[in-house]
Amino acid sequence: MNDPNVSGQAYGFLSMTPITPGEEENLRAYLHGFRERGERPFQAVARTHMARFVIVPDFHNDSTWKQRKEEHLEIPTLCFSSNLDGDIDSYLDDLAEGFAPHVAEIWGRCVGGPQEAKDLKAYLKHNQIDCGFFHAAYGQATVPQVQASLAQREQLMAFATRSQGLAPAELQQAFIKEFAG
Amino acid sequence: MSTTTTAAKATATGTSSRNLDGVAMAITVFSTIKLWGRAFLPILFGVTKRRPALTKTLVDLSFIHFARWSLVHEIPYNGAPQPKQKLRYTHMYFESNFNGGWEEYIDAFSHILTTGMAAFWGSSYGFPMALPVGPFKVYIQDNETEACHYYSAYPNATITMIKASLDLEDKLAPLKRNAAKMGPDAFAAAYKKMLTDAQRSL
Repeated sequence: MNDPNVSGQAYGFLSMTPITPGEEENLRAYLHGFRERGERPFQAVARTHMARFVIVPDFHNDSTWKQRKEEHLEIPTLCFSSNLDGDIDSYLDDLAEGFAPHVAEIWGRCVGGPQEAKDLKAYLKHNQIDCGFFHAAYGQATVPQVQASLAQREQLMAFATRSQGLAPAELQQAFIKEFAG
Repeated sequence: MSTTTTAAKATATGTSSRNLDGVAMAITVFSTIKLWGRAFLPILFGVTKRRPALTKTLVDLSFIHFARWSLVHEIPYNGAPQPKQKLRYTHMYFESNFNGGWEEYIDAFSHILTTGMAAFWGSSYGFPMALPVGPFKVYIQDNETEACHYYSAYPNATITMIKASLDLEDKLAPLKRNAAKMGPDAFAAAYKKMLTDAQRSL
């Protein structure tokens, strides 16, 4: 596998999009608002393991470093990153669909950004930054597999507690009903 | 970059609440790369990817879900009013998705991945080396940017839980397949053995 964005079946996506002058605080407030309103918009994009939005106002400079010249971002930038299942093209389609109500409010506040979901994929691909190195601890497992295995572990622990002391035939029937029905 | 007027309060985990989703924690760090790093880092990334033994310690640490290092040579151009900016330096974007406390994370990185840290960040301006850990923590704090929104699809699961859960399926599947075909006593014995084998996964 030569794609630097891939580890197992997992894909690491990063885009950096310049924020339209005057929109930084509105964008920040909108993104903060997800948590404040108890919204989890990435739940609508089921192939997302972990994702984040970060506004980078500038590069950090320090006069004590032996950096010949300071460097500043000309324009604050929105970083969007996602650790996802499978190929990026179909994921960005899923993202556009799941984030349709938010596209104009987020990327629409970026320079050249889409006001409609149908234009999101091309915009994000244009602004993609490749990984140099991407590490996925369980890159073979998809989101549904991880979630199902976690649920099954809980289920088995509860079953093991509940079924203590059952006679073999009762235990077998209970197990079949719980796990093999 | 770590200080913004709207920064959320630091939590007991040592980071802003906006970098958290359940027990999952985000760290996002930009650093500026020295000239030699522009040539060295792509080689390091390539070698590290091709030789999994080099990341064994990272895997064994068992608290990093996903991590990435990206080199930013230019900011993609999208037309006016974005100014065309030719970057003088290459910058490195680093992100990690982990569980545990921020302090513990940095401590573990510093003490266990000391050599790896020097390789990955040694070409960054201001990198003080991973040890002693105090100056390194200050360096990370200075270069870290708080997430505006962070999401995990399984926010209450640690990586240890996830690996154990994925391993459990291998142990449980044969019994699920064969339970109905077995006699009660044989089933009870197989169930007990499965629980014993799976003990570390529970």
